Formats: sequence, C-alpha cells, structure tokens
Amino acid sequence: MCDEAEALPLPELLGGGGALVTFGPTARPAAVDLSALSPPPAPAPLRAAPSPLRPLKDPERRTTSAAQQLDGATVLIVDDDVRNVFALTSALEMHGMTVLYADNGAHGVRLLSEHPEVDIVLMDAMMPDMDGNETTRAIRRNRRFADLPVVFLTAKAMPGDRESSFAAGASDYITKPVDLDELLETMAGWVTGRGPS
Amino acid sequence: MNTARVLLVDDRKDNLLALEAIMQGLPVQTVAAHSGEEALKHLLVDDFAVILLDAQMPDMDGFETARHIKRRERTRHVPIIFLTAADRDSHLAMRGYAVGAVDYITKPFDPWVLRAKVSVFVELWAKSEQLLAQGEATRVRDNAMRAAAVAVNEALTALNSADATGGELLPGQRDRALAALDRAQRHLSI
Repeated sequence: MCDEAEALPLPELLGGGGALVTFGPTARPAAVDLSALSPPPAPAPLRAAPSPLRPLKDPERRTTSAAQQLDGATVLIVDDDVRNVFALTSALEMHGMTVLYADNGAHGVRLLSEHPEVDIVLMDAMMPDMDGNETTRAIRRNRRFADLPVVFLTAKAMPGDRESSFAAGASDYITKPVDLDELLETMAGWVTGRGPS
Repeated sequence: MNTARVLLVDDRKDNLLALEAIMQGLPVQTVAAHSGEEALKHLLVDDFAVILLDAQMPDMDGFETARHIKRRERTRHVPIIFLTAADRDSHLAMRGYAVGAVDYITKPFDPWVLRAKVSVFVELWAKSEQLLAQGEATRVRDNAMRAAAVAVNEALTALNSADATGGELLPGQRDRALAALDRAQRHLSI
C-alpha cells in the first residue's frame, strides 16, 4: 500500500486527477486549478470523537428544519435518570448537537456557569435534593441566564405542577415519554428565539 | 498526546481496587464506576480506550450497560471486556459477545492476562488517536495549499496585466504580484 502511494506522482497525492499547473503553448503558467486541491474525503471515525464537546458528524442525520436549526447547538441536560439521558443524548448528538450533562441540580448550575456557550437547558422536574423548580430558580438568579431557554421534561404531571414550574422560571414544559420530533421542534423554537412553537 | 482512560465497572469496591492495582504501571488513567448507571455517567462526559465491565451487578447489569453503550454513536466503538464469575456458564460469555463485547474473562483471572488484553486495546487507541491527529494535520496542510494557490493565481493575474500595456509591467502590478507571492510563501511555510 505504501509502495503504491509512493509511486503516484505528486498531483495524484494531492487528491486530484490532472496536473496542478499546466503550461500553455507560450509556456506561460496557467492559473492553478483549485479544484485539483479538493479536500480528501473525511475518514470514517475510528472511534468516538476525542472530545465530548465536539459535535458528531453523521451523514444520516435528519434534515428536518428543526434539526437543521439545532445543528451545532449546545444543550445542557439536568436529569438523574441516566438511562433516559443516555438515549436522549445519543439522539441529540446524531442531530449535530453537543450535550453537556449533570445528574443533579447543583452540578447543573455549576456546569452552566462554566459553559456560557449553552444554548438551551433540558430540565428533569423530579430529582432528589434540588428538584427542577429549585434548580431553575437558582439559574434565573444569575442575570446572565435570565433569557436562557429552560425546557422541563416531566414524567408524571400533577395538577398545578406546570404552573409552579413556570413560576420558577421554566420556558416550556413537555411530558414524558418525550416524542423526539416534538422535542426537537420545541427546542428549535427556543434556540432560534421564536419562543414556544 | 492524551492519556488513555480505562473505565472499570464493578459493584464491589474490593474488585475495583484489585482492578486498579492490576492496571498500575500501564500508561493509563483508570476511572472507577460502582454501577452500570455510574459507568454511563462517566461515558457521557469522557472518552475511554477500553471498558472492563462486570457482568453481574444489581439493577443495571453489565449486559444492559453494554447495550446502552452500543446504541450511542459516540461510544459504540469503545471495546468492552466482560468480567464474569460464572465460568461454568459459558452462555454468559455468548451473551456478552451478543451485546458487542470484544472479549471476556472469567473470575478468578490471571492479572497478567487481563493486563495484556488491556495493553492491546490501549495501543490500538493510541494508534487511532495518532491517525486522528494526522488527519487533522493533513486538513491544515490542505487549507494552506489552497490559500497559497489563491495567492499564486493573484500574482499571475497581476503579471498577465503586462499584456494590456504592451509587455510593460506597471509598478503597482509588480508590487501586487510580489505581495501575493510573498503571501503564498508564508502559507506554504507552515
């Protein structure tokens, strides 16, 4: 394989077919053919990307408009149920998002202060110690996060839960089991600043 | 170069300590998880070269943990070595392979065998890290060549302008060509 590569003329190695510089009848150099410098195809990922903060590139990524608007967004998930989070993270990563994760409210607030690039927070309502409402109040106490979208995900909603979450500063409220398309639609609405969709 | 991280997953503290001791001296950073849930939490924030996964754990066992890992694009390629006490139950090993384990080892095991297996995966990880770095370097070089080509074309345009002035190169065009060639040179000298 190496021998074959070494035998190739330089232009071939540079990824193009024809010569990079061609000489006309007057022996004057023609312009460099930029198409000959096309980038090599991206190598298939050998393993997971080295940094959890780098969004995945996936050719089969969904291309709905909501998904497109969310491509490149950074999401903070605050949820103690790691089974749910792992599946949700996987889905969001497939749509080009970078996911940060906290398994409790205090950690979530800390992560947020360390990562100003967070575009939206997905908040589990029911968590031991600090619940979603308390965590959201703590987030809103910082003026920087006054307008940060905080979308609540909740398993069993009791009457009045919704209202108390909105009073705590929730931007939106989705009941589990979460429909992924619905969630993406809602998230895109908030990330693009359109508000509730 | 980053240090390879090895995720050790076992519900028993003494087993985790033993695994950490076995890994000592290898060029790795060990991260201990006391449950499948804790393992998944680590996998949400860090990348690992290899996972040593106890098959039998309360609540989320090794098989369920592995299924979650295999379903996520970012973690599905991380090699998993199952650790199982049930040497009499060979079907457990088959279950491990079925969920995507690359290897399994039955307890009690020879520490040197486990060390050797982990070393292989750590070396593979280091190689793929190297490939990723090389790919990145190639992309950087490709961009530099592209920028140099643009500058060379600009110089050519300036030089060709002499055609319009009967072979005479105006000083302004000459300076433009020189500046462009200078830029091309800088792009290529990275």
